[in-house]
Amino acid sequence: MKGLIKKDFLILKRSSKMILFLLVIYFICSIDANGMESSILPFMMAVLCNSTFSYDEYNKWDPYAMTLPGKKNTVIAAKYAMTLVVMMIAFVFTVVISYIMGTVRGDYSLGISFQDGLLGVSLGILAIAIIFPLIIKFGLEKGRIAIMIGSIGLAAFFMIVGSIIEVPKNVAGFLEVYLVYLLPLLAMTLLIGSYFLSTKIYSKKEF
Amino acid sequence: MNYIIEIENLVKKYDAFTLGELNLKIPKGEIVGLIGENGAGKTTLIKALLGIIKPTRGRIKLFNNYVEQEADNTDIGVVLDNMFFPELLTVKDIDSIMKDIYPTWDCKLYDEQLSKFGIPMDKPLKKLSKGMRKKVEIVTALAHHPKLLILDEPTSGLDPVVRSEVLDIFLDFIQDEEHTILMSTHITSDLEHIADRIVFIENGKVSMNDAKDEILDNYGILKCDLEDFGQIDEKDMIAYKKNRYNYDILVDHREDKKKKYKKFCIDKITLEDLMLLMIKGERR
Repeated sequence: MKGLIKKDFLILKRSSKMILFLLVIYFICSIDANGMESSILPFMMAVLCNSTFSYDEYNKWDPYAMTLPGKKNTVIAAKYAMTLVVMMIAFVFTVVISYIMGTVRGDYSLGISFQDGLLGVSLGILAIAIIFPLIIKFGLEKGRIAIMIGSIGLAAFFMIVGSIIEVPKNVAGFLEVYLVYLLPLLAMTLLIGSYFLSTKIYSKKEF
Repeated sequence: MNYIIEIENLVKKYDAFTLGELNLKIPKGEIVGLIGENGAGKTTLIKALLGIIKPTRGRIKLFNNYVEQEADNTDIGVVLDNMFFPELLTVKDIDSIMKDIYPTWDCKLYDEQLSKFGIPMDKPLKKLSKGMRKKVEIVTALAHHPKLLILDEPTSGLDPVVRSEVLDIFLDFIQDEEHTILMSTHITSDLEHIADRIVFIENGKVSMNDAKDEILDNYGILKCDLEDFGQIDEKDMIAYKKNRYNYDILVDHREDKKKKYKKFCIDKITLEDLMLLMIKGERR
Protein backbone atom coordinates (compact mmCIF):
# COMPACT_ATOMS: atom_id res chain seq x y z
CA MET A 1 0.00 0.00 0.00
CA LYS A 2 2.93 2.30 0.74
CA GLY A 3 3.82 2.39 -2.95
CA LEU A 4 0.28 3.27 -3.97
CA ILE A 5 0.07 6.09 -1.40
CA LYS A 6 3.42 7.34 -2.63
CA LYS A 7 2.10 7.35 -6.20
CA ASP A 8 -0.72 9.72 -5.27
CA PHE A 9 1.59 11.97 -3.28
CA LEU A 10 3.97 12.14 -6.22
CA ILE A 11 1.04 13.17 -8.43
CA LEU A 12 0.17 15.90 -5.93
CA LYS A 13 3.83 16.93 -5.84
CA ARG A 14 3.85 17.19 -9.64
CA SER A 15 0.80 19.42 -9.41
CA SER A 16 2.48 21.56 -6.75
CA LYS A 17 1.87 24.71 -8.80
CA MET A 18 -1.84 24.18 -8.21
CA ILE A 19 -1.25 23.71 -4.47
CA LEU A 20 0.75 26.96 -4.34
CA PHE A 21 -2.04 28.71 -6.22
CA LEU A 22 -4.54 27.38 -3.65
CA LEU A 23 -2.36 28.63 -0.80
CA VAL A 24 -2.19 32.11 -2.36
CA ILE A 25 -5.98 32.18 -2.72
CA TYR A 26 -6.24 31.04 0.88
CA PHE A 27 -3.94 33.80 2.11
CA ILE A 28 -5.89 36.41 0.17
CA CYS A 29 -9.15 35.13 1.67
CA SER A 30 -7.62 35.10 5.14
CA ILE A 31 -6.50 38.72 5.09
CA ASP A 32 -10.03 40.06 5.37
CA ALA A 33 -11.31 37.32 7.62
CA ASN A 34 -14.94 36.88 8.50
CA GLY A 35 -14.90 33.34 9.85
CA MET A 36 -15.61 31.40 6.66
CA GLU A 37 -12.07 31.53 5.26
CA SER A 38 -10.86 28.81 7.63
CA SER A 39 -12.77 26.09 5.83
CA ILE A 40 -11.48 26.96 2.38
CA LEU A 41 -8.01 25.36 2.44
CA PRO A 42 -8.96 21.82 3.59
CA PHE A 43 -11.91 21.86 1.23
CA MET A 44 -9.68 22.90 -1.68
CA MET A 45 -7.18 20.20 -0.71
CA ALA A 46 -10.00 17.66 -0.73
CA VAL A 47 -10.86 18.73 -4.28
CA LEU A 48 -7.18 18.33 -5.16
CA CYS A 49 -7.24 14.75 -3.79
CA ASN A 50 -10.12 14.07 -6.17
CA SER A 51 -7.95 15.24 -9.05
CA THR A 52 -5.70 12.17 -8.61
CA PHE A 53 -8.65 10.15 -9.91
CA SER A 54 -8.62 12.10 -13.17
CA TYR A 55 -4.93 11.32 -13.78
CA ASP A 56 -5.63 7.67 -12.98
CA GLU A 57 -8.60 7.51 -15.30
CA TYR A 58 -6.90 9.34 -18.18
CA ASN A 59 -3.96 6.92 -18.22
CA LYS A 60 -6.03 3.82 -17.37
CA TRP A 61 -4.09 3.29 -14.17
CA ASP A 62 -6.73 1.10 -12.48
CA PRO A 63 -6.48 -1.93 -14.80
CA TYR A 64 -2.68 -1.69 -14.55
CA ALA A 65 -2.92 -1.49 -10.74
CA MET A 66 -4.95 -4.72 -10.80
CA THR A 67 -1.88 -6.51 -12.17
CA LEU A 68 0.29 -5.49 -9.20
CA PRO A 69 0.68 -7.73 -6.16
CA GLY A 70 -1.74 -7.21 -3.30
CA LYS A 71 -5.47 -7.16 -2.92
CA LYS A 72 -7.66 -5.25 -5.33
CA ASN A 73 -9.07 -3.06 -2.57
CA THR A 74 -5.60 -1.85 -1.58
CA VAL A 75 -5.99 0.72 -4.37
CA ILE A 76 -9.00 2.17 -2.54
CA ALA A 77 -7.41 1.89 0.91
CA ALA A 78 -4.41 3.84 -0.43
CA LYS A 79 -6.67 6.61 -1.78
CA TYR A 80 -8.43 7.06 1.57
CA ALA A 81 -5.14 6.89 3.49
CA MET A 82 -3.58 9.51 1.19
CA THR A 83 -6.59 11.77 1.72
CA LEU A 84 -6.42 11.46 5.50
CA VAL A 85 -2.74 12.43 5.47
CA VAL A 86 -3.54 15.41 3.21
CA MET A 87 -6.34 16.45 5.57
CA MET A 88 -3.98 16.27 8.54
CA ILE A 89 -1.50 18.51 6.73
CA ALA A 90 -4.35 20.87 5.77
CA PHE A 91 -5.43 20.95 9.44
CA VAL A 92 -1.96 22.01 10.61
CA PHE A 93 -1.76 24.65 7.87
CA THR A 94 -5.21 25.98 8.70
CA VAL A 95 -4.43 26.29 12.43
CA VAL A 96 -1.06 27.94 11.78
CA ILE A 97 -2.34 30.37 9.15
CA SER A 98 -5.46 31.19 11.18
CA TYR A 99 -3.22 31.92 14.18
CA ILE A 100 -0.82 34.07 12.15
CA MET A 101 -3.68 36.03 10.61
CA GLY A 102 -5.28 36.47 14.03
CA THR A 103 -1.99 37.80 15.35
CA VAL A 104 -1.74 40.25 12.43
CA ARG A 105 -5.31 41.44 13.08
CA GLY A 106 -4.72 41.52 16.83
CA ASP A 107 -7.57 39.12 17.71
CA TYR A 108 -5.62 35.88 17.86
CA SER A 109 -6.74 32.88 19.83
CA LEU A 110 -5.28 29.39 19.60
CA GLY A 111 -8.67 27.93 20.56
CA ILE A 112 -10.40 29.67 17.66
CA SER A 113 -7.59 28.67 15.28
CA PHE A 114 -7.99 25.07 16.41
CA GLN A 115 -11.75 25.26 15.86
CA ASP A 116 -11.17 26.79 12.41
CA GLY A 117 -8.95 23.85 11.55
CA LEU A 118 -11.44 21.28 12.83
CA LEU A 119 -14.31 22.86 10.94
CA GLY A 120 -12.36 23.08 7.69
CA VAL A 121 -11.02 19.53 7.84
CA SER A 122 -14.45 18.16 8.75
CA LEU A 123 -15.97 19.80 5.68
CA GLY A 124 -13.12 18.46 3.54
CA ILE A 125 -13.59 14.91 4.89
CA LEU A 126 -17.37 15.14 4.43
CA ALA A 127 -16.84 16.15 0.82
CA ILE A 128 -14.46 13.22 0.25
CA ALA A 129 -16.79 10.77 1.99
CA ILE A 130 -19.55 11.69 -0.45
CA ILE A 131 -17.51 12.23 -3.61
CA PHE A 132 -15.17 9.18 -3.59
CA PRO A 133 -17.82 6.43 -3.85
CA LEU A 134 -19.59 8.39 -6.61
CA ILE A 135 -16.39 8.73 -8.65
CA ILE A 136 -15.49 5.06 -8.09
CA LYS A 137 -18.96 3.94 -9.09
CA PHE A 138 -19.62 6.20 -12.08
CA GLY A 139 -16.16 7.31 -13.18
CA LEU A 140 -15.02 10.92 -13.18
CA GLU A 141 -17.31 12.38 -15.85
CA LYS A 142 -20.57 10.75 -14.75
CA GLY A 143 -19.42 11.06 -11.13
CA ARG A 144 -19.22 14.85 -11.46
CA ILE A 145 -22.79 14.99 -12.73
CA ALA A 146 -23.89 12.76 -9.83
CA ILE A 147 -22.05 15.05 -7.38
CA MET A 148 -23.76 18.13 -8.87
CA ILE A 149 -27.22 16.59 -8.74
CA GLY A 150 -26.53 15.29 -5.21
CA SER A 151 -25.32 18.69 -3.98
CA ILE A 152 -28.34 20.52 -5.39
CA GLY A 153 -30.67 17.87 -3.94
CA LEU A 154 -29.02 18.05 -0.52
CA ALA A 155 -29.10 21.87 -0.48
CA ALA A 156 -32.77 21.85 -1.49
CA PHE A 157 -33.55 19.26 1.20
CA PHE A 158 -31.94 21.32 3.97
CA MET A 159 -33.59 24.53 2.73
CA ILE A 160 -37.02 22.89 2.75
CA VAL A 161 -36.45 21.19 6.10
CA GLY A 162 -35.03 24.45 7.52
CA SER A 163 -38.09 26.41 6.45
CA ILE A 164 -40.55 23.82 7.82
CA ILE A 165 -38.92 22.77 11.07
CA GLU A 166 -37.97 25.33 13.65
CA VAL A 167 -34.95 24.27 15.66
CA PRO A 168 -35.66 24.61 19.42
CA LYS A 169 -33.57 27.30 21.06
CA ASN A 170 -31.83 24.91 23.47
CA VAL A 171 -30.84 22.60 20.56
CA ALA A 172 -29.59 25.59 18.54
CA GLY A 173 -27.55 26.74 21.51
CA PHE A 174 -26.11 23.26 22.00
CA LEU A 175 -25.16 23.02 18.32
CA GLU A 176 -23.55 26.46 18.37
CA VAL A 177 -21.21 25.34 21.14
CA TYR A 178 -20.60 21.71 20.26
CA LEU A 179 -21.08 21.52 16.47
CA VAL A 180 -17.39 22.16 15.91
CA TYR A 181 -16.60 19.01 17.90
CA LEU A 182 -19.51 16.92 16.63
CA LEU A 183 -18.79 17.64 13.01
CA PRO A 184 -15.37 15.88 12.96
CA LEU A 185 -16.98 12.81 14.56
CA LEU A 186 -19.77 12.83 12.00
CA ALA A 187 -17.24 13.33 9.17
CA MET A 188 -15.04 10.44 10.33
CA THR A 189 -18.04 8.14 10.75
CA LEU A 190 -19.20 8.99 7.25
CA LEU A 191 -15.68 8.50 5.91
CA ILE A 192 -15.46 5.00 7.38
CA GLY A 193 -18.85 4.15 5.87
CA SER A 194 -17.74 5.71 2.58
CA TYR A 195 -14.57 3.55 2.60
CA PHE A 196 -16.51 0.31 3.01
CA LEU A 197 -18.99 1.37 0.33
CA SER A 198 -16.14 2.27 -2.05
CA THR A 199 -14.34 -1.05 -1.52
CA LYS A 200 -17.60 -2.91 -2.17
CA ILE A 201 -18.13 -0.97 -5.42
CA TYR A 202 -14.50 -1.41 -6.49
CA SER A 203 -14.40 -5.16 -5.81
CA LYS A 204 -17.27 -5.62 -8.27
CA LYS A 205 -15.80 -3.27 -10.86
CA GLU A 206 -14.21 -4.52 -14.07
CA PHE A 207 -11.93 -2.58 -16.37
CA MET B 1 4.79 -31.27 -19.61
CA ASN B 2 5.02 -28.47 -17.05
CA TYR B 3 2.42 -25.77 -17.63
CA ILE B 4 2.59 -22.25 -16.24
CA ILE B 5 -0.92 -21.24 -17.35
CA GLU B 6 -3.86 -23.65 -17.53
CA ILE B 7 -7.24 -22.35 -18.61
CA GLU B 8 -10.24 -24.65 -18.18
CA ASN B 9 -13.61 -24.00 -19.83
CA LEU B 10 -13.18 -20.24 -19.54
CA VAL B 11 -16.16 -18.11 -20.58
CA LYS B 12 -16.55 -14.36 -20.29
CA LYS B 13 -19.84 -13.00 -21.52
CA TYR B 14 -20.48 -9.41 -22.56
CA ASP B 15 -23.60 -8.04 -24.25
CA ALA B 16 -22.06 -8.05 -27.71
CA PHE B 17 -19.22 -10.54 -27.34
CA THR B 18 -18.44 -13.82 -25.65
CA LEU B 19 -14.97 -15.14 -25.00
CA GLY B 20 -14.85 -18.92 -24.99
CA GLU B 21 -15.56 -21.55 -24.07
CA LEU B 22 -11.82 -21.69 -24.04
CA ASN B 23 -9.28 -24.29 -22.96
CA LEU B 24 -5.61 -23.53 -23.18
CA LYS B 25 -2.34 -24.65 -21.64
CA ILE B 26 0.84 -22.60 -21.86
CA PRO B 27 4.02 -24.62 -21.27
CA LYS B 28 6.79 -23.27 -19.06
CA GLY B 29 9.87 -21.93 -20.83
CA GLU B 30 8.20 -20.96 -24.12
CA ILE B 31 7.39 -17.73 -25.91
CA VAL B 32 3.75 -18.03 -26.87
CA GLY B 33 2.29 -15.66 -29.44
CA LEU B 34 -1.38 -14.81 -29.25
CA ILE B 35 -2.74 -13.73 -32.62
CA GLY B 36 -6.14 -12.84 -34.01
CA GLU B 37 -7.99 -9.89 -35.45
CA ASN B 38 -9.16 -6.90 -33.40
CA GLY B 39 -12.01 -7.89 -31.13
CA ALA B 40 -11.20 -11.61 -31.32
CA GLY B 41 -10.74 -11.76 -27.55
CA LYS B 42 -6.96 -11.56 -27.03
CA THR B 43 -7.07 -8.63 -24.60
CA THR B 44 -10.11 -10.08 -22.81
CA LEU B 45 -8.19 -13.31 -22.32
CA ILE B 46 -5.18 -11.43 -20.95
CA LYS B 47 -7.39 -9.38 -18.61
CA ALA B 48 -9.01 -12.57 -17.31
CA LEU B 49 -5.58 -14.10 -16.68
CA LEU B 50 -4.50 -11.07 -14.70
CA GLY B 51 -7.68 -10.79 -12.65
CA ILE B 52 -8.68 -7.47 -14.24
CA ILE B 53 -12.00 -9.06 -15.21
CA LYS B 54 -13.85 -11.95 -13.61
CA PRO B 55 -14.72 -14.93 -15.80
CA THR B 56 -18.41 -15.72 -16.16
CA ARG B 57 -17.38 -19.33 -15.65
CA GLY B 58 -14.35 -21.55 -15.90
CA ARG B 59 -11.09 -21.66 -13.99
CA ILE B 60 -7.57 -20.36 -14.44
CA LYS B 61 -4.48 -21.94 -12.97
CA LEU B 62 -1.30 -19.84 -12.72
CA PHE B 63 1.95 -21.36 -11.46
CA ASN B 64 -0.05 -24.51 -10.63
CA ASN B 65 -2.46 -22.66 -8.32
CA TYR B 66 -6.07 -21.89 -9.10
CA VAL B 67 -6.83 -18.19 -9.22
CA GLU B 68 -9.90 -18.28 -6.97
CA GLN B 69 -10.63 -14.73 -5.89
CA GLU B 70 -7.69 -12.46 -6.53
CA ALA B 71 -4.57 -13.37 -8.46
CA ASP B 72 -1.18 -13.14 -6.76
CA ASN B 73 0.74 -11.41 -9.49
CA THR B 74 4.12 -11.14 -7.75
CA ASP B 75 5.88 -13.32 -10.31
CA ILE B 76 4.21 -11.74 -13.33
CA GLY B 77 5.53 -8.83 -15.38
CA VAL B 78 2.93 -7.01 -17.43
CA VAL B 79 2.79 -4.67 -20.40
CA LEU B 80 -0.76 -3.67 -21.28
CA ASP B 81 -1.85 -1.68 -24.30
CA ASN B 82 -2.17 1.99 -23.21
CA MET B 83 -2.55 1.20 -19.51
CA PHE B 84 0.20 2.43 -17.24
CA PHE B 85 1.15 4.99 -14.61
CA PRO B 86 -0.31 8.51 -14.79
CA GLU B 87 1.81 10.39 -17.31
CA LEU B 88 2.51 13.23 -14.89
CA LEU B 89 4.95 10.94 -13.08
CA THR B 90 8.61 10.71 -14.02
CA VAL B 91 10.57 7.57 -14.86
CA LYS B 92 12.34 7.95 -11.48
CA ASP B 93 8.99 8.19 -9.67
CA ILE B 94 8.05 4.77 -11.04
CA ASP B 95 11.24 3.33 -9.56
CA SER B 96 10.46 4.90 -6.20
CA ILE B 97 6.86 3.58 -6.22
CA MET B 98 7.62 0.08 -7.46
CA LYS B 99 10.31 -0.60 -4.88
CA ASP B 100 7.58 -0.25 -2.26
CA ILE B 101 5.26 -2.58 -4.17
CA TYR B 102 7.50 -5.48 -5.24
CA PRO B 103 9.78 -7.04 -2.61
CA THR B 104 12.03 -8.20 -5.47
CA TRP B 105 12.22 -4.83 -7.26
CA ASP B 106 15.72 -4.30 -8.65
CA CYS B 107 16.54 -0.56 -8.78
CA LYS B 108 19.94 -1.31 -10.32
CA LEU B 109 18.47 -3.36 -13.15
CA TYR B 110 15.83 -0.68 -13.79
CA ASP B 111 18.48 2.06 -13.94
CA GLU B 112 20.82 0.01 -16.12
CA GLN B 113 18.18 -0.98 -18.67
CA LEU B 114 16.86 2.57 -18.96
CA SER B 115 20.35 4.03 -19.35
CA LYS B 116 21.01 1.41 -22.04
CA PHE B 117 17.98 2.72 -23.88
CA GLY B 118 19.04 6.33 -23.25
CA ILE B 119 15.89 7.23 -21.35
CA PRO B 120 16.26 10.20 -18.97
CA MET B 121 15.12 9.39 -15.43
CA ASP B 122 13.80 12.84 -14.55
CA LYS B 123 11.42 13.26 -17.49
CA PRO B 124 7.68 12.83 -16.98
CA LEU B 125 6.13 10.06 -19.06
CA LYS B 126 4.12 12.59 -21.05
CA LYS B 127 7.33 14.15 -22.38
CA LEU B 128 8.65 10.82 -23.70
CA SER B 129 8.11 9.59 -27.24
CA LYS B 130 5.80 6.62 -27.75
CA GLY B 131 8.78 4.32 -28.30
CA MET B 132 10.58 5.52 -25.15
CA ARG B 133 7.42 5.13 -23.12
CA LYS B 134 6.95 1.60 -24.33
CA LYS B 135 10.54 0.82 -23.34
CA VAL B 136 9.85 2.18 -19.84
CA GLU B 137 6.79 -0.08 -19.64
CA ILE B 138 8.85 -3.10 -20.70
CA VAL B 139 11.73 -2.34 -18.31
CA THR B 140 9.18 -1.83 -15.51
CA ALA B 141 7.69 -5.24 -16.30
CA LEU B 142 11.12 -6.87 -16.05
CA ALA B 143 12.65 -5.07 -13.08
CA HIS B 144 11.13 -7.25 -10.35
CA HIS B 145 12.53 -10.46 -11.89
CA PRO B 146 9.20 -12.03 -12.92
CA LYS B 147 8.90 -15.63 -14.06
CA LEU B 148 6.08 -14.92 -16.47
CA LEU B 149 5.70 -11.98 -18.82
CA ILE B 150 2.21 -11.21 -20.10
CA LEU B 151 2.41 -8.65 -22.88
CA ASP B 152 -0.42 -7.05 -24.81
CA GLU B 153 0.88 -5.42 -27.99
CA PRO B 154 4.34 -4.71 -26.52
CA THR B 155 5.87 -3.67 -29.84
CA SER B 156 3.02 -1.68 -31.37
CA GLY B 157 4.04 1.79 -32.47
CA LEU B 158 7.76 1.04 -32.32
CA ASP B 159 10.08 1.48 -35.26
CA PRO B 160 11.90 -1.63 -36.57
CA VAL B 161 15.17 -0.78 -34.78
CA VAL B 162 13.53 -0.38 -31.39
CA ARG B 163 11.36 -3.43 -32.02
CA SER B 164 14.44 -5.48 -32.66
CA GLU B 165 16.01 -4.20 -29.38
CA VAL B 166 12.86 -5.09 -27.48
CA LEU B 167 12.69 -8.57 -29.02
CA ASP B 168 16.31 -9.12 -27.95
CA ILE B 169 15.31 -8.29 -24.38
CA PHE B 170 12.58 -10.92 -24.56
CA LEU B 171 15.03 -13.47 -25.96
CA ASP B 172 17.45 -12.71 -23.11
CA PHE B 173 14.62 -13.15 -20.61
CA ILE B 174 13.64 -16.54 -22.00
CA GLN B 175 17.19 -17.90 -21.67
CA ASP B 176 16.21 -18.89 -18.14
CA GLU B 177 14.19 -22.11 -18.52
CA GLU B 178 11.91 -21.07 -15.68
CA HIS B 179 10.74 -18.04 -17.66
CA THR B 180 7.74 -17.87 -19.98
CA ILE B 181 6.26 -15.17 -22.22
CA LEU B 182 2.68 -14.85 -23.40
CA MET B 183 2.50 -12.07 -25.94
CA SER B 184 -0.36 -10.79 -28.04
CA THR B 185 0.55 -8.85 -31.15
CA HIS B 186 -0.58 -7.84 -34.61
CA ILE B 187 3.02 -7.72 -35.79
CA THR B 188 3.24 -11.37 -36.72
CA SER B 189 6.75 -11.03 -38.13
CA ASP B 190 7.93 -10.44 -34.53
CA LEU B 191 6.48 -13.79 -33.56
CA GLU B 192 8.16 -15.47 -36.52
CA HIS B 193 11.46 -14.29 -35.01
CA ILE B 194 10.95 -15.23 -31.40
CA ALA B 195 7.85 -17.36 -30.71
CA ASP B 196 7.90 -21.07 -29.95
CA ARG B 197 4.14 -21.52 -30.07
CA ILE B 198 1.26 -19.72 -31.76
CA VAL B 199 -2.24 -19.53 -30.36
CA PHE B 200 -4.78 -18.22 -32.83
CA ILE B 201 -7.93 -16.74 -31.32
CA GLU B 202 -10.97 -16.40 -33.56
CA ASN B 203 -14.33 -15.08 -32.38
CA GLY B 204 -13.40 -15.72 -28.78
CA LYS B 205 -12.25 -19.30 -29.31
CA VAL B 206 -8.87 -20.96 -29.83
CA SER B 207 -8.79 -22.12 -33.43
CA MET B 208 -5.12 -23.09 -33.52
CA ASN B 209 -2.56 -23.92 -30.84
CA ASP B 210 0.61 -25.35 -32.36
CA ALA B 211 4.37 -25.00 -32.35
CA LYS B 212 5.36 -22.15 -34.65
CA ASP B 213 7.80 -24.25 -36.68
CA GLU B 214 5.15 -26.91 -37.14
CA ILE B 215 2.73 -24.31 -38.49
CA LEU B 216 5.26 -22.75 -40.85
CA ASP B 217 6.44 -26.18 -42.06
CA ASN B 218 3.00 -27.70 -42.39
CA TYR B 219 0.92 -25.02 -44.09
CA GLY B 220 1.34 -23.53 -47.54
CA ILE B 221 -0.43 -21.29 -50.04
CA LEU B 222 -1.38 -22.92 -53.28
CA LYS B 223 -1.70 -20.33 -56.02
CA CYS B 224 -3.80 -21.11 -59.07
CA ASP B 225 -5.47 -19.22 -61.93
CA LEU B 226 -9.19 -18.58 -61.82
CA GLU B 227 -9.89 -21.28 -64.45
CA ASP B 228 -7.78 -23.90 -62.59
CA PHE B 229 -9.63 -23.52 -59.30
CA GLY B 230 -11.94 -26.45 -60.12
CA GLN B 231 -8.95 -28.80 -60.33
CA ILE B 232 -8.27 -28.45 -56.59
CA ASP B 233 -9.95 -31.02 -54.40
CA GLU B 234 -12.31 -29.29 -51.95
CA LYS B 235 -11.08 -31.56 -49.15
CA ASP B 236 -7.58 -30.08 -49.56
CA MET B 237 -8.72 -26.49 -49.09
CA ILE B 238 -8.67 -25.18 -45.52
CA ALA B 239 -9.57 -21.69 -46.73
CA TYR B 240 -9.28 -19.77 -49.98
CA LYS B 241 -9.34 -16.19 -51.17
CA LYS B 242 -10.24 -15.04 -54.66
CA ASN B 243 -7.97 -12.30 -55.99
CA ARG B 244 -8.37 -10.35 -59.25
CA TYR B 245 -6.44 -12.86 -61.38
CA ASN B 246 -5.94 -15.91 -59.18
CA TYR B 247 -6.85 -17.80 -56.01
CA ASP B 248 -4.82 -18.18 -52.84
CA ILE B 249 -5.65 -21.50 -51.21
CA LEU B 250 -4.54 -22.43 -47.72
CA VAL B 251 -3.43 -26.06 -47.59
CA ASP B 252 -1.83 -28.23 -44.92
CA HIS B 253 0.74 -31.05 -45.36
CA ARG B 254 2.54 -28.80 -47.81
CA GLU B 255 5.07 -31.35 -49.08
CA ASP B 256 2.34 -33.92 -49.78
CA LYS B 257 0.29 -31.31 -51.61
CA LYS B 258 3.32 -30.33 -53.67
CA LYS B 259 3.49 -33.90 -54.92
CA LYS B 260 -0.25 -34.04 -55.53
CA TYR B 261 -0.50 -30.71 -57.37
CA LYS B 262 2.75 -30.69 -59.34
CA LYS B 263 1.64 -28.05 -61.86
CA PHE B 264 0.81 -25.50 -59.16
CA CYS B 265 3.09 -23.38 -57.07
CA ILE B 266 2.76 -23.94 -53.30
CA ASP B 267 4.59 -21.28 -51.30
CA LYS B 268 5.69 -21.36 -47.70
CA ILE B 269 3.32 -19.46 -45.48
CA THR B 270 3.89 -16.54 -43.16
CA LEU B 271 1.83 -16.06 -40.01
CA GLU B 272 0.31 -12.98 -41.61
CA ASP B 273 -0.83 -14.98 -44.67
CA LEU B 274 -2.25 -17.63 -42.39
CA MET B 275 -4.16 -15.07 -40.34
CA LEU B 276 -5.50 -13.29 -43.43
CA LEU B 277 -6.69 -16.49 -45.08
CA MET B 278 -8.22 -17.86 -41.89
CA ILE B 279 -10.04 -14.60 -41.18
CA LYS B 280 -10.82 -13.19 -44.61
CA GLY B 281 -10.84 -16.33 -46.71
CA GLU B 282 -13.77 -18.61 -47.49
CA ARG B 283 -13.70 -21.72 -45.33
CA ARG B 284 -14.26 -25.21 -46.70
